[in-house]
Amino acid sequence: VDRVETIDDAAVEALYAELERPVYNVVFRWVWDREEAREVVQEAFVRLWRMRARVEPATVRPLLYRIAVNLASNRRRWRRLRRVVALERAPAAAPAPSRAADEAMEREQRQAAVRSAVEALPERLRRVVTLCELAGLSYAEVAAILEIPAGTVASRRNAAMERLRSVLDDEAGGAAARRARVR
Amino acid sequence: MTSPTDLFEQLEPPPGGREALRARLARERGGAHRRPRVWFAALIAGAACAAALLALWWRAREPAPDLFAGARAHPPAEHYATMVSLKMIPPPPDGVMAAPGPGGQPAPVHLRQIPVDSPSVVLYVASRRAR
Repeated sequence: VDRVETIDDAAVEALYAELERPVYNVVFRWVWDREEAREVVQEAFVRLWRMRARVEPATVRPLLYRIAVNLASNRRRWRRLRRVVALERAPAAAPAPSRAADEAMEREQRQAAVRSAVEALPERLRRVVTLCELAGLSYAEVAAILEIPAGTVASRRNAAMERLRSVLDDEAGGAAARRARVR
Repeated sequence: MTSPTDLFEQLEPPPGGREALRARLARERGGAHRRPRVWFAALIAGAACAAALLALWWRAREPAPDLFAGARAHPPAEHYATMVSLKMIPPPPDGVMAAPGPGGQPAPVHLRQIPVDSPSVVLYVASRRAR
């Protein structure tokens, strides 16, 4: 894509082959649904294709990530709004624990802990940490995507990691206490 | 215990993404993406109509009654002295009725303006009307 002078269908497809997975991984941590994440990724590429006449090939990657993260953030906001006005059904209650389901339950709890830790992050930290850790981008690349200084990227990433550690440690402590009470 | 590194497990996207993208781009080339613009134009037109109707209704509605003008024209007896002191009506040349008078009945009083130095102060003396 960097070598071509204009973005055409072939360039978009080549970009898709290269970036589908990292973009999908970033978007998934915003919408937490495989199908929805896939839709957002597709929509991001389609929007990039619509803008192809005005896009410099050198800036196409940051632009794609920016579109994808904005779309994912909007979806998440819209979903929360729908939940507030009760158009969306609340998630079903967790089934009662049983010994046979212990392992699966522990895995679900771990995933729920991860999700709640990421959900607890403010948006500016979440943008940085998902792009740094899930897309494998450098601070400079993330800085170009988010249009902020690289030093800010580094400090926000560190702050995000601190918060994640704190939330996950609290969660682990609570789970241990619950297990002790059951025994 | 869950550590932050668990967050960053790489997931595989669902298969068939590239074919789905090709199909969407083919639809885009067919002009499917222009449909939302039609909806957007209809939305703008609807909002403009609503704004015009609101403006017409606003202009056509009756003016609100001027309560102060009504009160000036027919000052209620129990508020007469207050209205005079607030300069809402001119002081009467002869007596006004003040309430309560002896036995709870309205009684005639005279208002006499006392000259003072400050222009922001108006002072009246209310006195029982001489019979």
